[in-house]
Amino acid sequence: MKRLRITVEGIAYDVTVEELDAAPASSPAAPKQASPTAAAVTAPAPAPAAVPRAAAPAQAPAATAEPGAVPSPLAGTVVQVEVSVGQSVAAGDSLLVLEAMKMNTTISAPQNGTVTAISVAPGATVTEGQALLTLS
Amino acid sequence: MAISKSVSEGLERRRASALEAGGKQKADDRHAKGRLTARERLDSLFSAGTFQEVGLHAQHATRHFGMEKKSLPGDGVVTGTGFIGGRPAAAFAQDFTVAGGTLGEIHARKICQTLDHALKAGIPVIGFNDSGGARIQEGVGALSAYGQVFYRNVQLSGVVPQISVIAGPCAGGAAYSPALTDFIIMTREHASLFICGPEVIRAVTGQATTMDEIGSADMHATVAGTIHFIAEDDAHAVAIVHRLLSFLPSNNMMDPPHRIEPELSLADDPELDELVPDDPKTPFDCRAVIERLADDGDFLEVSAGFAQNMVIGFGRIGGIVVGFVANQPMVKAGAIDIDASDKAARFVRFCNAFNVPLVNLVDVPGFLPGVHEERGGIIRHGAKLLFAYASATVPKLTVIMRKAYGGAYIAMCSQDMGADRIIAWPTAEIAVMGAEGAVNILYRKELAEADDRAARAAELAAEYREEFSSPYLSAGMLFVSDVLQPRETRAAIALTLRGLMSKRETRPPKKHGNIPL
Repeated sequence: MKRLRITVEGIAYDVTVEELDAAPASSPAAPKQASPTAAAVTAPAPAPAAVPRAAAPAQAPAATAEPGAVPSPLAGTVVQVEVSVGQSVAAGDSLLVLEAMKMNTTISAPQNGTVTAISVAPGATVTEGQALLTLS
Repeated sequence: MAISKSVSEGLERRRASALEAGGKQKADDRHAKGRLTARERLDSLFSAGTFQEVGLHAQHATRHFGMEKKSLPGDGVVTGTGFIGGRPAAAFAQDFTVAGGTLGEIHARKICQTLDHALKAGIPVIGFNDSGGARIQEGVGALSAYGQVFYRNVQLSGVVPQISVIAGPCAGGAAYSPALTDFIIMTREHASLFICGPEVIRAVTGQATTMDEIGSADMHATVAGTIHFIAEDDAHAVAIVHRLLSFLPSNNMMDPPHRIEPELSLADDPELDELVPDDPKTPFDCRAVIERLADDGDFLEVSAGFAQNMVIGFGRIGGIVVGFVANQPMVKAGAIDIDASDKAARFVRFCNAFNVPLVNLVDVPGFLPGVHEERGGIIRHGAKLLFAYASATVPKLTVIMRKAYGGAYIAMCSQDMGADRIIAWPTAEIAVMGAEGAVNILYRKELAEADDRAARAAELAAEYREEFSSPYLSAGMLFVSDVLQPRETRAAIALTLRGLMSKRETRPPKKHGNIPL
């Protein structure tokens, strides 16, 4: 298993590539389990460079590879981070506030958990699908 | 001179045998899983004692593979008419206990007769889909039978409301009949909806997937947008059908079931004032506004899980059934994207086809910027919304609550799209673009030379906002009919709707327009 980040037209995709020596070239690696709304990107082994443009245009790209990663629903600027690493949160708790399209958008915890990592700071610009923080 | 006992008993015997359908064991198995049989579904759909079955004695027409020796009671589907809330409706329910509810020629003919009857009688039709698919033994005959159902779904579209319940498997070609209907309800468990299943996908493409990922109610309600409601079980699905029908006319020549009282309450609703946040950047839930505007807070949200940046659904204002279309600032800042365009456009088309006035609640910063949006065809999809509004001749009322920017403002039914009244709240910002973006263009040179660029930009933006995005500017140019306090809005809409019940708008005759699909 090898993890690669591939940027297609400015959008970063995290993909997992599995080396299958004996397998025929047409057999692709299992798609990474992403959030249900994220389009799965499969990379045919063993040529990770040839990632097909499989991401459905209307859907969020599968950039949140880490389990528990909370993706940004849209591109914007981080206004405020309301939690700290180690803090436990309940589903629905406010995690951080983004400003995008002249509006603040509150990012809430999708499930109960503990904040294990915060990937962004106030003032940072983020892209749609980018991991903002990680919950265990 | 009475009917002979043996003849009478002959009928009862046949009835009993047909009503047994797939047998007690199969019915018990379903009950054990909390599921209803086809007849039980129709019995719960219609008011007690009103269901009149058609085609109880139908037999299949399969003459190959030894099928001719088999009896398939009713050919795997129960059809007929009945009454719901005092109004007639037609329905069919595929019977999975008989040959897996597979569709053969007679099975399809029963469905087609039900659809034909609904069309002639001008009554809604409800279909419970629970079928293993085409009856392979009938070959191309079964395939043609699907075509006949699809053809009728299209004939009925826009004439009578068509509601589909996916209450079991619905795969391959079969999935297209519900897709052609107006509303799809799907049970969370025991139902699947897909064209190519996980095995076919794996065999052809090598992609490993699961039914949850490609055919579940959850996926269709949130990602694909195929279905409009998730039901927890069969009884819940029927309850949703009842609720939906309570807002819909029986056909396109009738008005929806308005509940017009002779006296109209025109009282202010101060709660509405409270809902609008001080800070224009603070989001608020547009559903809270809808629930204040709708009589008794009764709002049936449609497609609640899909494209949540746009909220659509039915309610009544002053007794008059309306379709609400609202931007949701809590999701994606309320910006319009591809899915939101599709969702709202189809709803507007439905409302127009069935004489449901439209109430549009606007708080939209614009179309969502992004590579995915542009490459995904936001132009093509956003155009659907413009097309739908411009071609709608039902009463159209637009309330600009806060932001109304650029093309998205027009796409939310500005006056230019034929809105009958435009109400703006004093908090409205109506402009060709946001103040920050506008000053960057208008004062490019001045800003480049400014000592403190950011401070000067903020100053200019504030001036621009005050001068060029004020609702009074639009009201002065008659783009806005009136500026009202939020608390005055409900009464104003109710009164305006009363005055628009006789609205007639004629358009040039044509086969149909060419909506960008």
